[in-house]
Amino acid sequence: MPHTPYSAMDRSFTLDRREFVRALGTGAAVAGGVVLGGPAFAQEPVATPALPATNIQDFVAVPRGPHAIPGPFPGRVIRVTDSRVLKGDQVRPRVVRHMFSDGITQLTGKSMKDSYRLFFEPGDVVGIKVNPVGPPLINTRLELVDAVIEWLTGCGLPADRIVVWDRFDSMLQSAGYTKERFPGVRIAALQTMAEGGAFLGPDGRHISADNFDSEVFYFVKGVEGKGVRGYKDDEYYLNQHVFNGEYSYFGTLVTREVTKIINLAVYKNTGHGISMATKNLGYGALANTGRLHVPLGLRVNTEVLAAPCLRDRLVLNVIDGIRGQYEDGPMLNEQYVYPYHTLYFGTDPFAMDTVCHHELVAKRKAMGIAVNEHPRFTEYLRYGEELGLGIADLERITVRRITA
Amino acid sequence: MTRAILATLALAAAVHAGTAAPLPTDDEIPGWRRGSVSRIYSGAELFGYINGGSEIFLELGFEELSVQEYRKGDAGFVVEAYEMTDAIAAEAIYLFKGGEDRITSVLPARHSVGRFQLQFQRDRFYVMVNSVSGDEGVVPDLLAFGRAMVSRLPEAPDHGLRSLLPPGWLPGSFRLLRGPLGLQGQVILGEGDLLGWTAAGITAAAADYSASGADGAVRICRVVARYPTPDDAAVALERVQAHLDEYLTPVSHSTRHLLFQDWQQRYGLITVEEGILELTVHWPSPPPVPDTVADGRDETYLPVPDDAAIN
Repeated sequence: MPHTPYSAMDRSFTLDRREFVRALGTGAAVAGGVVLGGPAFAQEPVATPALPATNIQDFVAVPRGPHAIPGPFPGRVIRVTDSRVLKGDQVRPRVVRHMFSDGITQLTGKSMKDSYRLFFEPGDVVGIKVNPVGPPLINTRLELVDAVIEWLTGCGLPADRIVVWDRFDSMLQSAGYTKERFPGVRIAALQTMAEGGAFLGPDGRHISADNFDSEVFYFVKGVEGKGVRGYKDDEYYLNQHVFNGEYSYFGTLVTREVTKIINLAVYKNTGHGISMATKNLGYGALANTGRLHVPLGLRVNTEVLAAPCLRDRLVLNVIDGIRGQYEDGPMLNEQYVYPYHTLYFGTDPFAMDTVCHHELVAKRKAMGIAVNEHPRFTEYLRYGEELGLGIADLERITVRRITA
Repeated sequence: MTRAILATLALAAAVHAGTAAPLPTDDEIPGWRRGSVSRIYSGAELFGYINGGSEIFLELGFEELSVQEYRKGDAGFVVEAYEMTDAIAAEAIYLFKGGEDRITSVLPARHSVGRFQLQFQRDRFYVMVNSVSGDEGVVPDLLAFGRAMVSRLPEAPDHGLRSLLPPGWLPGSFRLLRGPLGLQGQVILGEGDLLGWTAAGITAAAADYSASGADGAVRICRVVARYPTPDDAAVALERVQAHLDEYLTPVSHSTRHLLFQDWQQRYGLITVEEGILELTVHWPSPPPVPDTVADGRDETYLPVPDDAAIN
């Protein structure tokens, strides 16, 4: 059902829905008859499917950890803009470092060292989740990763306790996240893809199967990675998604190795929604996600972030808007890429995505894009608030803007 | 970086021999030779290359994607040639991707070009030529690739779909639609292919117009589709009425129209006449319902202002 903010129509001007259906009377019945027995063009099923059952209640039942999102600053978003960060195509590392420092200290109200102590403890292994989609323009900037690593190591975290990670090894490589570029830091992917059946090991399982935790999963009843529309065949799906049943297993990197997560998303759209803080992890930390797009869409972002292995470890989010892409994302489309010179900071990924969704919609409108603001594209954010994962009500979000 | 990107492409999917795409040969553009990466993705294999981005290709009608790497010294191009089911589908995806609706002497096909990408459409092909470096100096070569490929393709006859719309649409707003995913840019009427375009192979024309309202100029969108028969169009309207999206509220209706209000208090109107279904959305106030579609079963509950005419 529509949420309250969107049902405030003047009913005196409109038909009640039940009245409308009743008024349709014979017409609706005729339509139904034609659907069943009429011309071919009318035979596509139109019934609205119910949302499939998931194991979200299992996640909710686990007591929240001390660092659980939305963290110490629910509803707080810091927006740092510095037009000097780009010189032509080049990102200026020094400016990025200043922007990063400004963002962290404004977010926490503390020094960089004290901020570090707010989020991290001795013995932590910190995973930096990047977004490698869309190089060379709209992936997470390598210079931003540098700034994060410098902060962590400068505060005493050994470099070998830092892991820069994403789901696919090939994407990490293509975007430049290599051992050579980040010496001393571990670069890790949850999985690989291989051609011609080479993805299967001697035991008949995907060669990356052991990278996923069979005890920690997102379960969606009746939604399997078999016969998924859009894939050539089930084997093709398996290559890309490792598993194809009702279970999406989280990477062991997330469940067993890293103890804290820093989420470095990118400022870009996906259709009429956005692909930023919540989606970077929602579709990036587990396998067998291809089956989820159609039945659940952006709702996956919310439920996956509710999993304790993410919820309790995600301590910081930065959205990289040094460049943005306002249309045809998340893949690169150059004509929609623009210099935005901005980084967003927060511990609350839902507040950040709420703010960025509205700002990107404004940009899209300003650029003449036909924007559909249907509530379905932001329902997952309100759902996140209902689950206590963050704030999605703009009235309750504070955005602090810093412009150099 | 270039080497890494090309290596990644090599791993991305199954390799097939041969291609029907109009790809340049070695040194056809001086100095540029084909690299080792060459792949073809047929049908739904496209998901393995562009994941969720493939949905709109499949809705419009996708046949095959050919990917070919080219090298010239340290510079690298990757050509993606998407062969669609027909020239209308190719034009539709080109326009969906934001390609400029223009043909110039630089490249005799609809095209847009930047430092990192050239995209163009000709006949059944939508093509992207990606420059890995984005160097300004290779832009002339991007265009040379485009000219070489365009020269191999026939010019498709005019499909006439623009004539479905009245003149005066806003520049850059023309689109061709074949299903609910494409229509999502304008409106979500409900779940699934309520208008029956995908199943029947109907292509609708859409564009934005400037309209005047009480608060000044607004942008409304008009979508027009021609159905095989008047009954088909009427059934499509009935299906929308029976399965209207939960965020749309019906205001008035008849067997030949539906006026609705959305959650932002904007209005939309669907009319059907002689096999033509016309949808207009984003009206700030209720648009007038033409007498020709307000039949004896009409139930109109709203006053109809006269200040909402399209300019």
